[in-house]
Amino acid sequence: MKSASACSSSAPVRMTSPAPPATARTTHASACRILPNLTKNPGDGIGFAAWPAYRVSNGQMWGMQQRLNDCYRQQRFPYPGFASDATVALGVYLGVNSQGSRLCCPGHQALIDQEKPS
Amino acid sequence: LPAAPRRPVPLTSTRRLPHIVKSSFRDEGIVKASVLDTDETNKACSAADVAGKPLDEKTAKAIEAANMKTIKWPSNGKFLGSWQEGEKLAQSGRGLTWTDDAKTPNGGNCYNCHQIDKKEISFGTIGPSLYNFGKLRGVSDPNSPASKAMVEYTWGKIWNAKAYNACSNMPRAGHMGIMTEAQVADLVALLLDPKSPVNQ
Repeated sequence: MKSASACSSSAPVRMTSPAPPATARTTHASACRILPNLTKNPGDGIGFAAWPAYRVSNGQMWGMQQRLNDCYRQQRFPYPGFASDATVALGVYLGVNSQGSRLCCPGHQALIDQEKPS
Repeated sequence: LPAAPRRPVPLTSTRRLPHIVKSSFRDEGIVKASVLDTDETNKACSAADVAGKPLDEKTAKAIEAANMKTIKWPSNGKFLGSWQEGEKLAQSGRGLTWTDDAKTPNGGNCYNCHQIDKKEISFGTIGPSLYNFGKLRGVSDPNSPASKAMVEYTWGKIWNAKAYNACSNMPRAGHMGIMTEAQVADLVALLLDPKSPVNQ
């Protein structure tokens, strides 16, 4: 994952990664409308690259484990154990698929701004 | 001779999958881990998905026939209930999660995948549009003999979609105990009642 923001509308120059997919500039909010296909790289700030995040209508920041937990809940699945093999494997799969995409998560922009030469 | 050391099964081996699934999920609230023990239909369709090619015609037909046998037809002979109740069910995505209790009435969550009433603009597109479902199929009087086949198909499709399309993505609402008979009748009315907003 690159340390550049995918959250800002004026997307910074990508460092070294493949040509951006059509969805590259889709922000987190609009990505919720059309569910991304996570079996391949969904692009900057989408899927794995969108977490941790404040879940809609939830005041706490959720990590990938919590996001997957709610995903399974809505699928009417039984309860996935925290850090269970299935959830870790799925998280790793999503992370590997997102390789090269830019992370978009709370506090990330501030971190980038801090690193910028003034 | 000492026994040869057992070669560990690689983490990526599909042989490990059943164990990984078993050890990763547990009962919670009204949801039992046993829901992951899927039936022959789901197993065949999942295997086809993994293989990346659809089921062969013969297997698909056999699965459809087996699912057709599970369809429970309305015990009171009434295929159509209230379209108003059907619309509420189509809107509701409640029920059957581990945060629901057994008393939560299940919704059909139909809009999640289908367009239905044109007034509802928030709908999914995984399934086909059902707007004008009855009108397009020429159902002007659901009680007429001419409509019988379409009325039965609509009931059967909602009860067990896989009776008509082996690997349909549509949940088997009646067969899996998601919807009651009365609820299925309300959904049939939503789709086929000439007074339903679906057919305006």
